[in-house]
Amino acid sequence: MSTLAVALTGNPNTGKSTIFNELTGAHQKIGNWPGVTVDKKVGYVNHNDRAISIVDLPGTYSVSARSPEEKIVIEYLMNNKLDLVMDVVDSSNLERNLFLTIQLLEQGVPLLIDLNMQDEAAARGIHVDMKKLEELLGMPVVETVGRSSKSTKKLLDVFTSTVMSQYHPSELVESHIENIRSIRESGKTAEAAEEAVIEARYALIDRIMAEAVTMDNAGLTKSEKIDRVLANGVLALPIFLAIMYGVFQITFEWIGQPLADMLDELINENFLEFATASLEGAGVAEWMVSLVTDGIISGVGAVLTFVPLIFVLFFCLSFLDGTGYMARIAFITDPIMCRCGLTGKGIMPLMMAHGCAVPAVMGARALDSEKDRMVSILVTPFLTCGAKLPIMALFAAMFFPEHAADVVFGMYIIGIVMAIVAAKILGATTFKDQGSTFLLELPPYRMPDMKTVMIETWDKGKGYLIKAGTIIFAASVLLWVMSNYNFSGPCEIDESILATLGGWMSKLFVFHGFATWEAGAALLSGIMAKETVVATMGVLYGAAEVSTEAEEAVEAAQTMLGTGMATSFTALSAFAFMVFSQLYTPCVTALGTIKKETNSWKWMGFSAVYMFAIAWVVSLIVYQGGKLMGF
Amino acid sequence: MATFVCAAVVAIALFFAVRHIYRNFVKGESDCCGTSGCSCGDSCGGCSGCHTK
Repeated sequence: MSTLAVALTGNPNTGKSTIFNELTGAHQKIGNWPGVTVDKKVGYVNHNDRAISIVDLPGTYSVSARSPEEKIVIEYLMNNKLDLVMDVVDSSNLERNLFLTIQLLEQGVPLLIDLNMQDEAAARGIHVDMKKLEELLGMPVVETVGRSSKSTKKLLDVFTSTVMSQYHPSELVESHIENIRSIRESGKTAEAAEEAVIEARYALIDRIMAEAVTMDNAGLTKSEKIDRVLANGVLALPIFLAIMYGVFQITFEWIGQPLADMLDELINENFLEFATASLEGAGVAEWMVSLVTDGIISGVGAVLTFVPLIFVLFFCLSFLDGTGYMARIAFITDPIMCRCGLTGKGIMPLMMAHGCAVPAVMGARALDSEKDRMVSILVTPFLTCGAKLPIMALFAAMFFPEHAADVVFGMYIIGIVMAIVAAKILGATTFKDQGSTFLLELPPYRMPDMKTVMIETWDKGKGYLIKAGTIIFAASVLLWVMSNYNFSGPCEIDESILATLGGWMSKLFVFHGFATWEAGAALLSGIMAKETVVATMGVLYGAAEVSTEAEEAVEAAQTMLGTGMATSFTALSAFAFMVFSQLYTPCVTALGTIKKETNSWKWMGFSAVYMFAIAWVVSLIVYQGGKLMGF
Repeated sequence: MATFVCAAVVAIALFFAVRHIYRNFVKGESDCCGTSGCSCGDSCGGCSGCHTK
């Protein structure tokens, strides 16, 4: 028997993705639709001896082909032979959802209407007469409660048992389609015809609502009551800050960091010692032991220790997203973001950038206008990502031991200020003619579906594991080779290829106070991945290992002090180096993401050059200004 | 012999790592954040309304 081809459509926030996850579980393939970076999710499931393929189409409010998502939906529905298209409808918001349903019926797609979130509709006093709706539309109607397993089984039963060829649009829908056709053929202008078509659709929706839906006067909904507190004009911002503080506490203090410390100990102590002893015991040559331990394990291990933090942070954010609170954050911060030249939705990429610039750049997709998206992409790498943190911790502990926390906090502030300044300048110059709008749907508050949260967390976090095993692994080997060899063979580190390249790079920093080949090499390697700045410093100045932990950073700093790092930097030049590290060119992965997201080598190159230039100028001002002030 | 085996393991791992990086580069993909698209730190819920242009 052939595979049953099913597509899911629906408005955003109707629980469509939750249903898709429930139906397909882990059996999903995620890719992009051709030409655009909109998710294409395809899942497979077997039920009643029937193979079913399910495509989760992007959520849209219509299929007018105005946005990339709308084009994808309509082109997919028109160009693929589908057995069934399930339109997932939010029962508590039926009137708005029916607009898409009517459009799909006009296109003659084999439509199954899923009245989802019936429980929420009932709680709001909304009752939909399923039989009447089925009669009015002429298409089968089912009801679900989003993430219940009963609903999942029921849907799969419906998929395999419903013969769509038995269903035909009702007389009401047929006459609507005839009406639409006559409007389009009436000779009206395109705009006037479109207006008339929309009016006709709403007239049909009004009739359906009048005949199939009854509403009790239920007063304020649960979400409206919660919003009275969480989105309250006075309390909203303090509550938002408290929640975010909680997320960072969970990530960096309570759960994420302890796990990271355990992993750090496991990799950088236990495994490193075990590997060294095993290799030496097996009689492996000294250079190979050094490559594996000093190069690969130290390099890859430094990145792997961040993985628990990343997963915990993503879990918290996915959980918050599932509750519906994320949409409120954009709403709450809109007035502040407007002053920065962005809109409220821009807050999320900026927040994400404190974890990693890559998801932050990708997160800018959620922004509505091209201007907001481009500005957000170009400024988020200024912020202090997790990979920059060890640089700050190391230098602050070494050169400002009394005020280390203040200096690191200062670096965060410098990053935020530069992002705001750059957003203002870019918004007023390069993108000044492009308007931006802020349209946001506030979904109702819900208890998140843990399965969806876990799938999303894994989906977002697994990239870091892959990155550690690929680019960081390759970079670690390269760094080790470059720091141990020159073109004549094995050599001392100060005669190595890394030293030569670092020497060239250092010529740019003659007026910045850190024109040493070691600093140049560290900054150069940081373009591969920011973590490698500290790893390179560790190799070049002889620290045994590198850690994100403040106490261990102090120990590493003291080791380095004894081996000459203090002679390479003064407190002022160290501060200038930190400022430069904070602001300069994003890592290659972030640059690659900028290329992908902007679909432009020009913007990727612009990002690399303008950030380097700003970092160079600001760092120069810091150093020369500091000297003038007598530091 | 032990050095040779160790070098071979590293070389094979390096080959696969570089091949992965090269394929990502050619396809214009990134490992960070997988390929989950707008769900990476989005506020749009359910991967809706996310696009690049």
